[in-house]
Amino acid sequence: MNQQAIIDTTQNAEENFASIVNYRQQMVYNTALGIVQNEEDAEDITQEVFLKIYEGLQNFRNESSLSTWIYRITITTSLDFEKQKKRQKRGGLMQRVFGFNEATEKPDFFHPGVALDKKEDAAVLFMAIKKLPEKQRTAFILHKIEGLTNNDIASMMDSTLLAVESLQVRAKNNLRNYLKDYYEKYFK
Amino acid sequence: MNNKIENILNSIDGIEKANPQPFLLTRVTARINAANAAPENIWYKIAFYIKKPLVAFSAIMLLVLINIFVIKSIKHRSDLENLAKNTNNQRYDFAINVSVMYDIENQEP
Repeated sequence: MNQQAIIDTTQNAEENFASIVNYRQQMVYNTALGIVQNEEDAEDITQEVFLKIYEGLQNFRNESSLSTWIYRITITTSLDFEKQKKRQKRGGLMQRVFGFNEATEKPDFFHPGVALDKKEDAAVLFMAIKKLPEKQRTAFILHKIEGLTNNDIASMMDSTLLAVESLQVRAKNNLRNYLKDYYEKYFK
Repeated sequence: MNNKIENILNSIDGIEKANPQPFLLTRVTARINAANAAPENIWYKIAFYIKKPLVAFSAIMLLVLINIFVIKSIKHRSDLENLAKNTNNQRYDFAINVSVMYDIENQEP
């Protein structure tokens, strides 16, 4: 059943919210997990996102689709969470001021949804994804992990189709460069 | 190496969805209830604004400016005090001299 239909047909606000949590939890969790690359953090973000949805549901005016609205909240909350975490890290300010790269040089995130034979490669890819600029990373994750089309991503990011396609191309090129550097640095 | 990189780039194709811990709705509902039950605390609101980077940076800049102003005003005041002290000394010297001259001129009772 379509989520919007649930909202339209169900009278009780609590039931509406429960349906949204049950139908959308995987979407929120996976998007958050792709961005923060930590299962506990993604869990916290998922709860935070649903709190925001609960608070904002009364004011939701169908200007965008429900899933677009939820994706936007998830992306913003995840990116904010990540920034806050970086700020709390020791030396985070110095790293930002002097432009040091904060991403680790060791693959440490193993996504639970990746096939066993691809786990190592995927971990290296996630390490590289973390180095991408925010917009490129968001577009890449929404496309690769959530399987969204560039049109959907464009409406989610308040952008144009052309801009999103450009983001995808730049993201892939940057990833290729990062991976090339990584292998030249550690495996030559 | 190019093949390896392409394999890595394609390694998350067809990735399966991960699932959050069970009973998410229960935990979210508990958080909503806790948030509703918690009284509005003014200190939380103040802390929320103070910890914003822009506010914190502005406060630091304000403190630095106040310090510069105070240091400058103290220096200015001490310059004025020194000037006044020197003037007083000169007056004192002058007064002694005048007195001495007066004494010399009025030796007779």
